[in-house]
Amino acid sequence: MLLIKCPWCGERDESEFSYAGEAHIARPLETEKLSDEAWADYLFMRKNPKGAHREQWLHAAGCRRYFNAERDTVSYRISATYKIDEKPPRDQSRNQS
Amino acid sequence: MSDLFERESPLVEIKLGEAKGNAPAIEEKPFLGYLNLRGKSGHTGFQAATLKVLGVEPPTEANTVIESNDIRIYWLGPDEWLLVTAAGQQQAIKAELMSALDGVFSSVVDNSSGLAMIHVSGANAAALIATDCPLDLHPREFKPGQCAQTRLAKAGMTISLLPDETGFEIIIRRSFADYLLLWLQDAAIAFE
Repeated sequence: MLLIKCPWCGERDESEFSYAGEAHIARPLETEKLSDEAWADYLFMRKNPKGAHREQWLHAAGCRRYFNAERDTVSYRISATYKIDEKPPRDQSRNQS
Repeated sequence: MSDLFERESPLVEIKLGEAKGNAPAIEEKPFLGYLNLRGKSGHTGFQAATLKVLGVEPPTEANTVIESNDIRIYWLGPDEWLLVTAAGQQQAIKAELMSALDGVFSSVVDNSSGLAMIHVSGANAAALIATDCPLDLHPREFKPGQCAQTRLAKAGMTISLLPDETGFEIIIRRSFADYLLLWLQDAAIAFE
């Protein structure tokens, strides 16, 4: 069982959370001028890395706020969580155990 | 028109007996008023309006509950609060809030018929709830003045300590209320 740290509520059980996809994807401005490739890239293409990944999570059973997490997709280790409008922490401490 | 009909609690059909043995007491608190308040806590208009009607500004610290003018104010999110009022008071308080918040980006929604309250009290209250709740309810972690939204037996709830600290107050959606009460009664058998 994982404890996930909600930036608002603190550490809570993983069963209270749900995953909400890759983080920091900005909707392009002036979408009517975009090429089909660029639009498809925004809509569908995701990094899907093996290792460190920045993603959105929702504290579904708690404060119902979205937040960002930095998670290792291999070890499941969440190295940082931060509010949705915050920038990712600079030090990537993901390789520390 | 609504006076023609008798109010009925969602738990009307469940018999609540005396607690047996060491089992915690389980009580329903029917017909309370529940208002959902949303707004920007730092906004001066919002601060002034809530101060005027509630006597305090809603708590900005996450997962805390305060009481003012006989209204309990629960933090639900950075811009969302739950006001629990005495039975029948909610419409007047809602009207006051709405007129005070006129022109301020905010919302007040009466959710009184959507929620129900259950009290669980006694020596084994925390142990009973911990049967299927992921929150740490030990007094070291869960203190008076705190509240939390989490799950109890898979149903979403808002929990806080009773003001006299003898047990817990659980706010649950009314559609889950009979399920949860029956679950609590069943789980309490282990403590009899």
